[in-house]
Amino acid sequence: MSVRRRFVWRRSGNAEPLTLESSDRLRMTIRAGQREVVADCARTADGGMSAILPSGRQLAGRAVVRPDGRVEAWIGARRVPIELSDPLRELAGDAANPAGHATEIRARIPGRVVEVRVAAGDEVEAGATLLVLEAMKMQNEIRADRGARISSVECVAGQTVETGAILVRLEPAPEP
Amino acid sequence: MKLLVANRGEIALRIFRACRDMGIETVAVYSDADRPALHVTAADHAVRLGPAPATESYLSIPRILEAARKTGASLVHPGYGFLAESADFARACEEAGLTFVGPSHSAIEAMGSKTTSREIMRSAGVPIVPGTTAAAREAGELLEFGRSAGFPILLKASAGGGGKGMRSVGGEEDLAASFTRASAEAQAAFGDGSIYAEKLLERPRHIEVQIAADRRGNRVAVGERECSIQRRHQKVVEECPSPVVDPEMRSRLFSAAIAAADAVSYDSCGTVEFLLAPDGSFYFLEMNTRLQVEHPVTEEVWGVDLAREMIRAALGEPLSFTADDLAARGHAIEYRIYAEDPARGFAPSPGAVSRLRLPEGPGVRNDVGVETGSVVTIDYDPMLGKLVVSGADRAQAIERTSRALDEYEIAGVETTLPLFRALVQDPDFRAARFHTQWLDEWLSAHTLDPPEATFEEAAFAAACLSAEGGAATVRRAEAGSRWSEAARRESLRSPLAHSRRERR
Repeated sequence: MSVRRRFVWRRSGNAEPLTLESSDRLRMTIRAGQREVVADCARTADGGMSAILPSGRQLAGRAVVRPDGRVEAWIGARRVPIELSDPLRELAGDAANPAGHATEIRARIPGRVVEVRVAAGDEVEAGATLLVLEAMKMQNEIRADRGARISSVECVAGQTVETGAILVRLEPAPEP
Repeated sequence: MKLLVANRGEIALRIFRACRDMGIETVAVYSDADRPALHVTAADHAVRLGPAPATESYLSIPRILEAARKTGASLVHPGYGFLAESADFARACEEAGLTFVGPSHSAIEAMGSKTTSREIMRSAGVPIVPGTTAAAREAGELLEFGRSAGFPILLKASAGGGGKGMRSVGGEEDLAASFTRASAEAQAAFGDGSIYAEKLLERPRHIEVQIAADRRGNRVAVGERECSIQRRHQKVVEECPSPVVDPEMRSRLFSAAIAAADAVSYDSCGTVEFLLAPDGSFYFLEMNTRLQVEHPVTEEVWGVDLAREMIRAALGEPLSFTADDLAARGHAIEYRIYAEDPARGFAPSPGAVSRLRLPEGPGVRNDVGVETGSVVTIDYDPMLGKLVVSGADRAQAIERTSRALDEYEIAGVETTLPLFRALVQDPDFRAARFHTQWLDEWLSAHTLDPPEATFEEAAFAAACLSAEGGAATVRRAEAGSRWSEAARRESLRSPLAHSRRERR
């Protein structure tokens, strides 16, 4: 399945767009400014990822979106300080509950729902993709900001949504 | 036979391993915070002590004795910390008919008091740091000593420990003010404001000698360790042998350590600590009457199992070696991995260990008390475990450390690993040019923030976040509930369902 995503990469006080494109999610092309790299990616057995760059350099590690929305990236055993944000994640805003977590995932800009990956009753871990929303010609994955249960899905694939539309409702995950 | 370890974390596991080697059954004790902890799940038997606070669990002598009685444990090992140097605990075990795996309560008591142990060492001919012997109540009593020994001097609490009530005095004019503060601190911490003075050794190294002894009067010095890499008087990195001790000094250190152990009829494993001055003179600091955190470096270099020797000694068996049997081989370095953030002033970093992948390969030993999913609470010491790396010599041990640190993956809590990655690159560390204040000075001169991500690294992170399956998983409601519901109905419908499954 193809993917097009746009991130904002904050570095030394500057924010620049970083885009990622892939037709198969294995060979990914990443661009930022004049720089471009094509990464041959493979999931590793322990849920991480290995990427081989055109130079032959191999990077293995993982990146997760923490509950506070920050990205934590590890290459090998080293944590790499990185500020990478997904503008659509910021745009798909939250009606925060008192605990600070979203209970409703809303669209903050108009867009088109490309894919819905969850159904009512599903339990999701923090960071799991709930749906894919296309806006500004970019496909962006809307993810859960915590472990939760989907109480309802308020949109369907192909639907155009307006600003403020509720996309998904969440409730606390049941105790294991 | 059963042995109860009155402790938790990596040291409980270390002692359990010795028990398994010896065919002894293991008994864990735990607080409510530790019910799912590794030391509990690794044990043959486990007994709850009480709520999380140590005073109601790991420090509660009656509850630990009751746990031993309930499980029929005849041996009790205190580990380190908690009750390890409590003479009362050793005595209570004896009175309850249990075998305390450690020295006699009288040895613990004698070495527990700074002034008493100094006095014993002086009579035994062991060099002690020049200082006063009587506990002073006012600054004036220490003035004469300061003048004759020469400033700077160090004020210490007679009842002391852990750096409380300790003050260095640069000159005569500072004595009165420093005495007042030290005394007030000692009074608050120990309920005893009396102070004694020692000559302050500047830039000393911390060298300690491992003693192994049994209840038949055998006492052997099993090499020395260098523990000069300290942060605020707490050891952080330890190694064996010391890079600065030559054979002549080693034999003098061993003689002094054996004399110290003889003086209290020591009959277990223990450690005699010395301060080594830049001029090569050394002085008795204290004796630790227990198994120490850093014992593995000695085990790796000298080929002995100290935890096992301690248990053997407690059972009345002789040491399994004599001094002549022992030969050192290579070099070993231990790194204490704490759930603390070295880039933020070593702030505690409690939380769940979301990922743990330990290094492997030649020369690597892991003594670790947590696993993936373990929760590090603020109730206890934040040490997660120790990385012990050995090589044919110190240079190889450091090479292998770099490799091991590059393999060591731990996420969810901050740890001291980034400090060690920086230390092994440091020219002074590599050349073993350090002393007990060196790390504190190093930390104030260095930052540990890693460089920002390069473009390739940022690209990698973006790729991870965009890969198939996303960063985390979705558990399907229908699939799980349908299967379990179907299985439940099946089992209700047919009593044969279970037996059929079992026969397979």
